[in-house]
Amino acid sequence: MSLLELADRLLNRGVVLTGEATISVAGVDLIYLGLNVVLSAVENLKTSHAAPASRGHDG
Amino acid sequence: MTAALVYVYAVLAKPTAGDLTGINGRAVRWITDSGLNLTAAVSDVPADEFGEEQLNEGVRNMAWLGPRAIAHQEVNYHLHETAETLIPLAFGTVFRDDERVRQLLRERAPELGQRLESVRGSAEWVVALHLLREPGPEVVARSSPAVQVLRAEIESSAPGKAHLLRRRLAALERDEARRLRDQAAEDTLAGLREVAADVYREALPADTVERPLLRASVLVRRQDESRFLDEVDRLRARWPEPTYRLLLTGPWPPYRFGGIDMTGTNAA
Repeated sequence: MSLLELADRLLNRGVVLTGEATISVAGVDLIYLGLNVVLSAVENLKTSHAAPASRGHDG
Repeated sequence: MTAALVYVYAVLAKPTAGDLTGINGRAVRWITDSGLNLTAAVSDVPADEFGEEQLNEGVRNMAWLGPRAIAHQEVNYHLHETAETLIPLAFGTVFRDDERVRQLLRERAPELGQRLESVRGSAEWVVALHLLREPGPEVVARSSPAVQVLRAEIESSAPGKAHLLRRRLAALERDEARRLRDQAAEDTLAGLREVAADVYREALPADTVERPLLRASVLVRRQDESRFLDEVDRLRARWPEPTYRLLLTGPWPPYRFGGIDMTGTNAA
């Protein structure tokens, strides 16, 4: 699983709970964004035990 | 030292045992409203990194976002492993102080309780089906009786007529290739629905290098996990490389489904 995929799940699909006192992130469409983001996200999470495993042929 | 803000990772029914470390190495602690069956997993974060402006700048910078997103996920991964149910929140949910978190738990208690029930005992998976290359003529022909018939007709036709039919065949193959792509997405979706507690079809990006045919978040009960993985294997065999590629990640804490099927306006 790539960092990009993690960021997509956490930022784009995550549950947003807002109250008046909340600071939160404006929607950022990260996944499949421009190549510059993809290239900066080449770090891989495979070494992290917390990362969900990619199964099969994950690119 | 700069002022601290309160970063919320998840909402649970009750605290879990054990120590957890969150963003910037700070300890995860609990904010509980006595009387409610709700608690928030939080840690302190510096205002000069997580103020609204800095935060929205930060998430555009992978070097800043990366380690903090990983820390967020590690906390929720452990909570998901140990708690019966949780609502993992989106990255960057920050409150000014503990009292404001408590206030949110109180105000949203019925909705939060309902959300916790809807994802109890489940994990979330992401399935994506990509088209790696256009299905070749043989792949199209195998799935298309119309193409097979026309081919046979060309075989048995005189040269002049065969030439005309070949042009028709080219157009037919293009149409059938398109139909096959749609079928791949629909068939995959149908297969996932057989074994999932819920399926959410994600919007596809319009302009990409990869060619996604389908992207779906899939909620799977723990006891159905092996059936689900078998189904993914079956779908991967049905829509094989080198034409297609089926990608799977998970199990995730229910980031997506924790916010779905709710009447609140803030559902993700």
